[in-house]
Amino acid sequence: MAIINLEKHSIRYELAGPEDNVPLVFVNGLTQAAHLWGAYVPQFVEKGYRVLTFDMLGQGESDKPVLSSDFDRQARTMTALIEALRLERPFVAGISFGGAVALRYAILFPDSLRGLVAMGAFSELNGRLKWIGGNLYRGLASVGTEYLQNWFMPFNFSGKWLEDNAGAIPAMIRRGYALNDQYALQNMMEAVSNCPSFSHELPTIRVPTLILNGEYDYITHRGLHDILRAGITRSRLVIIQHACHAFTLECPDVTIRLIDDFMGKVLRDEWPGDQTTWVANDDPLADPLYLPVLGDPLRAIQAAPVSGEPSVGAPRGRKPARGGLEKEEE
Amino acid sequence: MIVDTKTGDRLGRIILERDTQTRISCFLIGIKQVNVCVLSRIEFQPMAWEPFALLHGQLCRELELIGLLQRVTDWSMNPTVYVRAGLSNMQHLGDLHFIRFLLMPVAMDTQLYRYLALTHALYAHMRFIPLLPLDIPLEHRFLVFLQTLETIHGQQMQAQMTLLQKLPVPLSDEERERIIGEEGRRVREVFRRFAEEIVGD
Repeated sequence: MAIINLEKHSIRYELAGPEDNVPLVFVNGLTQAAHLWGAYVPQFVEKGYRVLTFDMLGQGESDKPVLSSDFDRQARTMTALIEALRLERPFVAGISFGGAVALRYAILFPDSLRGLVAMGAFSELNGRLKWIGGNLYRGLASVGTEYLQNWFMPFNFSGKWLEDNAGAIPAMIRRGYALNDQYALQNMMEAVSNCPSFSHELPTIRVPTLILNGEYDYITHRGLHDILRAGITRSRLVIIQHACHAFTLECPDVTIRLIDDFMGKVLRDEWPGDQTTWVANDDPLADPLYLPVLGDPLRAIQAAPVSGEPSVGAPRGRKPARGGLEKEEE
Repeated sequence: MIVDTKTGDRLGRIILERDTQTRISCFLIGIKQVNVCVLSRIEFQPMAWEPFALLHGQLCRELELIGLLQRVTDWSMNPTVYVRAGLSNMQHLGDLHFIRFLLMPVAMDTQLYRYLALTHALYAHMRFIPLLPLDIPLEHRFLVFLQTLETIHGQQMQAQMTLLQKLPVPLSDEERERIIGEEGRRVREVFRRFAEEIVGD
């Protein structure tokens, strides 16, 4: 762990891997801290990368401003950190809040990165995300940090993961409680709510981009990722099966494989970047890595075409779902 | 972290001892008593102004928390602990520069802004639970209360957060950040010294 002073603020960071390796920067989600990339760092170092993890302004052991902060300030601090550490054109991978910071970084400093991985990210707040953010902020302000942590659990993780890890969750929450300060979280959340849409700036991102989205991500839903896919010309959207918002924690093996595959293809100049949508193979060891999508990826369920008659085997007393229903998120 | 792991471990071992509970409660009550005096002056101004609306509830809450701290603490039977606590409080309150606000004219000015920055820092940074090792259960009533206190402080500081952003005083954003930073550092330093002091005693 090291501390560096940048623009009057101290930032805690960790840098692992030999100096001549290709740099890779991970950017945390809202309540995360650098240590939560613990499963990723040794694997990517072993794969030949130099990995930077850090606590953003407002997080963990970095400085925590009280007055409003915004994504651009975070992106500027990040670029100051990258420059201070002399990391040349890194890959940048961010999740959720950090995904938005990574997007802003790619927009503000388009020549400073080699490739972008946007995970559970967003470039605008639609009506639903605005309400989610507003309620979370009110909950944090009027109840407290623990409420926010508890609220996130069922949206970050699948039921199975929560059941399998029931014994470890209290310690996880306690550690997060100790690392996070309520005022700093509020400040960061204000950055989200005050952020104007920057979807119209997405086409300025020219670097190869991998967009990852959990199948059951009900915080940053598929539609927001589809906006990224449509706006970033050299992108691909990949959906991670059975995962929720925090798939980097729940499915590290699948995520590591996807990021590694992406970076390898970029370095070999083989990244298709064709703005298509795919589903990740659930098995991190099996081939192929990408599976095609059947049906409309923006829908949560695929309805059979309207036939006029109940289909054979349909439950009694129910009519089959109609085609052409409004898309869930629209 | 405000203190190192070694200090945190030691604090974890002694935090439920009567002497330690007494020292912590005296420290918190001492700060809250001064704050209540300042808040009373804001409370009884013969005018309607925004800080009153936001800080009125804080006076009541601080009084309530002092009462609850008195109830929840297993008080020490050792008189020297109180002597030590009294001397320590005088030192820390002096270091916080808290007393100056008892005499300030109550007006919408930089001095009021600095008071808000100081009380924000007190609510934000004086957190005992993060100092403790993660494996210490928080079921004892004193620890339950300390955690509840952090939650209540989080709710109370909403007034400070609103006013620090919006109080109509002639301060640039940079000056506001500077004042908040100064008071934050002052509080963290006092809190660190207090934590090391009770561990070292």
